[in-house]
Amino acid sequence: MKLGDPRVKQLVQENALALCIECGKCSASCPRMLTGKEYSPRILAHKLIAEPDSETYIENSVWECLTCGLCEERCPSGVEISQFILQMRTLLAGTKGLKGYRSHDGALHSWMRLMTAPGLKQNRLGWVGPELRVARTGKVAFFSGCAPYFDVFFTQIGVDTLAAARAAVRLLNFLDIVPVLLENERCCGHDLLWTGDRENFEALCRLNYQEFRAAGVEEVVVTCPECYQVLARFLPEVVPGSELKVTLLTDLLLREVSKGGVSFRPFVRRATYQDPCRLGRIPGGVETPRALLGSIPGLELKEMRNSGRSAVCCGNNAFINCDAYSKRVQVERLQEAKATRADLLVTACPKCMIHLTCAMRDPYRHGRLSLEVRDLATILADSIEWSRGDNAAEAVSR
Amino acid sequence: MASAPRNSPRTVDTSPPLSPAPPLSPPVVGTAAAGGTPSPTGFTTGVFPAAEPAAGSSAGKASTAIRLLGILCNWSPFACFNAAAMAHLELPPEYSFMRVMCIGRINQALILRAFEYGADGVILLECRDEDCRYGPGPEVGHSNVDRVRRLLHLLGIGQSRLVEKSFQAHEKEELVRTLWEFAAQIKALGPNPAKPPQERRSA
Ligand code: SF4
Ligand code: SF4
Repeated sequence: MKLGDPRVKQLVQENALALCIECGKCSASCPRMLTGKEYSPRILAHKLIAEPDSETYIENSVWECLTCGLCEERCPSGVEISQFILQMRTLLAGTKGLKGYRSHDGALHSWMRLMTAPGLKQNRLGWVGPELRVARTGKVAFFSGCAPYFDVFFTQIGVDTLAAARAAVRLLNFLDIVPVLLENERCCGHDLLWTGDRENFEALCRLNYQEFRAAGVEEVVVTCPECYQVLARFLPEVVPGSELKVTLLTDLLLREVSKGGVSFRPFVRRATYQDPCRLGRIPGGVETPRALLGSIPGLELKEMRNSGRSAVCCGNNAFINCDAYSKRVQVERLQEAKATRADLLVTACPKCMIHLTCAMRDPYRHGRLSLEVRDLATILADSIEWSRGDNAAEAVSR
Repeated sequence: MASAPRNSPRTVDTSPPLSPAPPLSPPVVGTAAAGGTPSPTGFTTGVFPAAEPAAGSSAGKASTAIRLLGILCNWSPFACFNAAAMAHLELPPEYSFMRVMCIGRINQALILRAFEYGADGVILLECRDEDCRYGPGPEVGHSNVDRVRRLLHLLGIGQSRLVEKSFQAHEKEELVRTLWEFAAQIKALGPNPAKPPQERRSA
């Protein structure tokens, strides 16, 4: 991909790369760079605007970024690195094929692509027990994404991604919402999108939209922040005129809690919280989970050194390029979590859970990094209750 | 599956036990459709459940256009394969074969990718557990097959499109018969309903 290519020029312009003042704040924040990888967003920006013969450097860099967005939090010039990376990947994948080592040899991307078959008849709802009230058609759906697939694929590392899905339905049921669960919803396509496979990503968007429409769904509730971003932000690009409302379960719950009437039973633990990148970069994404955790009596939230808008990624994104540097990001993150002396690590994204659990299991660390990891939804579902009137206001104001 | 008896039938073995004299004509398609056995995972093995019919209405002509992948371990199964070729035993034309040093080399991703690239069925031909040149090869194969089958079940592709079977080095007739049986079973099911659009286009 020649840098003189008008398509590249356009991306450089659209994403404000020419505004870079080479302050280096991005590289000083970048978890990939700080763990020693030969990658630097500042140099990438510099080469893009000033060194047109650095093709190889640029093409390699494009696949290294975690797309965590931490640099964008800090860039004084509004340079949109991760957005640029996304568009460059799409461009490169379309012209030169997908690059970037695919974790697990690409098994996850394979099942995501298999889901683009229109006639797919999945058996994805085996996890729905009789205790859950669910519907086939209706206005509100719960989107479980890849949770049933992760559950099979990651059993060997003991990650229970379906627990969050069950908890989400329990919470909705508690609020008297009987969500639609679709037997043939697909993966949201996040990982295909972020690895540049636009064609299959768009196919998944369209199929999901059709499934929602066929079931009469107007609002989709999600727990996974990646699903949220895709359905709320990228799906409307693919399906113009989509009027689907996408709601994060945590936002919905916080609304209910602040109305009063809902409170939480005590849960006495010392916990810390891993902000998922895709959640932390949207409005309220940092505050809402904390407000909910703060409503649980007895739960002591100890922040890691880097938290909230400065939180560090769980080390991998879209299941590509997981390497020794990813591991290093994870180990450092877990060390931060351990330093809080919490005995519970809460997160709100199945991928954070998978990646951090994987790193904890490193036999050479002899369990020194291990910590119970739970999804926020499961904690909330286990302690939610109707308040007895007196302590509702108190719970909210805390 | 570790508790399963060694070399237990985990494949298309709903057919009657093999007779010593091997008739090498393709078996009747019906054999594979007779009753399934529930596996420890609670799924039906060996038979495509009635709830998952062959794609569309392509029962007739289209159902013969299938593509199968046979993955052969270099040792006992390849010895059988080689011997079968020397003996001019006929093999079903739907297969592409891939020879690997050990079935333990094959991971879940490679099996799934075969389906992603348009396979209608995949068969892993491996050594018996106790014969593996390297140690845990076939056991790795069992656990990969178990897990990919569960993914195939979720995807609605059907577990019976992925099977494994072990052989001793002298069992060339068994190998050939297994290949015919598997081909017949997949033909009866028709093409994989979950082919990605790119594969459907090229087909
Ligand atoms: S933080 Fe922004 S302005 Fe500073 S070097 Fe990075 S991209 Fe350029
Ligand atoms: S998005 Fe994250 S990984 Fe990528 S350049 Fe920015 S800080 Fe580094």
